[in-house]
Amino acid sequence: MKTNIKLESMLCEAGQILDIGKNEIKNAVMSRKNIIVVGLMAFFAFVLVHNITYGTLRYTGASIHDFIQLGKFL
Amino acid sequence: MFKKKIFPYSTVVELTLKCNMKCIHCGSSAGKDRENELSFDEWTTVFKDLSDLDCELITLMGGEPFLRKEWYELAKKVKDFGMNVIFMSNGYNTNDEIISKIRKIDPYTVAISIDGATAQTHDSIRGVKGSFEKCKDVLKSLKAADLPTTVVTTVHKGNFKELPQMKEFLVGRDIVWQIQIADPIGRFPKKLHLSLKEFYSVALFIASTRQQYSLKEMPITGAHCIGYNSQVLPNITLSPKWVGCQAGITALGIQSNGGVKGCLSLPNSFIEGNIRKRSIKDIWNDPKFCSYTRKFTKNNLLGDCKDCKYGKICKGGCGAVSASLTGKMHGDPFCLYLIEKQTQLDS
Repeated sequence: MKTNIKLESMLCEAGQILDIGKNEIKNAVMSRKNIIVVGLMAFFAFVLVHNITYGTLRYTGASIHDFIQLGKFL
Repeated sequence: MFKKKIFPYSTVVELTLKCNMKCIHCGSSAGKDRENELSFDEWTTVFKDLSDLDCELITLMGGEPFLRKEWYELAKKVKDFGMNVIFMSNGYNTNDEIISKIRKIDPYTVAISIDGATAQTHDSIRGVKGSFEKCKDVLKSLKAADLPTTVVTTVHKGNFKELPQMKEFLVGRDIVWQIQIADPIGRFPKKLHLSLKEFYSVALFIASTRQQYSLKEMPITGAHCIGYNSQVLPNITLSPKWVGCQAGITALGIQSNGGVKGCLSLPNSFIEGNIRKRSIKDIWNDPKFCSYTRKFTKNNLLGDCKDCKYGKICKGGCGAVSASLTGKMHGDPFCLYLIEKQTQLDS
C-alpha cells in the first residue's frame, strides 16, 4: 500500500509520542515491504522448482497420474 | 471437508483471586480470594480432563498464583499429566524458596508483571511501595536460576510513555517482553484507556524495536490485543497471522471458583458453566459453548468491522477489548488496519 501524506503524518505523530524518530519509522515500515518481497520471491521459487520437477518427471517418462500421486505423497 | 480439530491448546487458570497488590488495571479486581475456591482434588480432576482434551499449555495465574497454598503440588500435577506450565506472577512474594520449586517444575516460562520504568510509576500502578525494586531482584534471581523469563507490561495512559526507558532496561537480558493494553473491565478506569493514536504509537514502538534489535537481543511482542492487519507495519504479535479471537477454539479460561469462559480476559457475563456442575470436558464439547467464535459468521461483525475485508478471518479483533469497550464481541475499534483506513479516508 502506498502511504499517503495523511497516513505518513499520522505515523510521524504516533512516533513522536514515544520518541520514535523518522528513520526508525521508515525502517519499521520498510520491514513490511521486505516481508512482501521475500514472500513473492518464495512463491516464484516454488513455481520454478515445481515446473522443473514436473518437467523432469515427464522427461523420464512419468505420466500425469504419477505426478498427481507424487503431489499427494508430498 | 478438512474440519479443523478444536481443542483447548492453551488454558489460563486462575488458581486464586487472592492478591497482595491492588493494581489499578486489574480486570478481575483481585485482592480477596473468591468464596469457595476449587479444592486441590477438584483442580486435579480439571487438569486430568484438560489433558484428555489434548490441552498442551496451562498458565497458572491469579490473583497471585504463589499465594495459593498448594501451587507447587498443582503445577506438578499439570506436568505429570504431560502439559507445559506458565507462571504469571507479580513477583512480590517470589523468594528463593519459590524459585527453587519453580525450577523443579521446569516451566515453559515465568512471567513477571512490570508496569513502568521507574519505581514511582510501577509502585503507584501496583499500589505497593517497593514492588518495583522487588520485581527487579526477582528478574535477576530467575535469570540466575536459568529460568525462561518474560516481562508482561500492561499499558495505559499512566505508563505507556515509559516504554522506551523500559526497553533500555530489558535489552540484552534474554527476557521476553510482552506488551498488552489495559481494558476497561474490573478496576480499570475508562479515562486511563489509551486513545487510538496512543495505541498506534505502542504498535509502532514494538515494530521499530523489532527492527532495531535482533529477536535474541530483544524478544519483544504485542499480545493478542495489539495489532491486526496493518498495511504498513509488519506483524508484531507472536503468531504469524491474526486469525481472530481464539476463545473456545484454542483458548479456555477457568476461574478459581470453577467458572468457565472461552477466555479469562472476557467479562464475567461470558461465563458459560461451572466445573462443579459439569465437567470441563462436557462444557468444552457442548456444541453451544463459545458459539460467538465457533459459529461465527461475517454477519456477526459490528461497527466498523462490518464491511471490513479482513472481517471473516479477523472476527472483529480481540473479543475482550471489543466486549469491554462496546459491550459486544466482533467490533474491536483498536485495530491498526481500521486506524490506517480512517486516517486515509480523512484526507
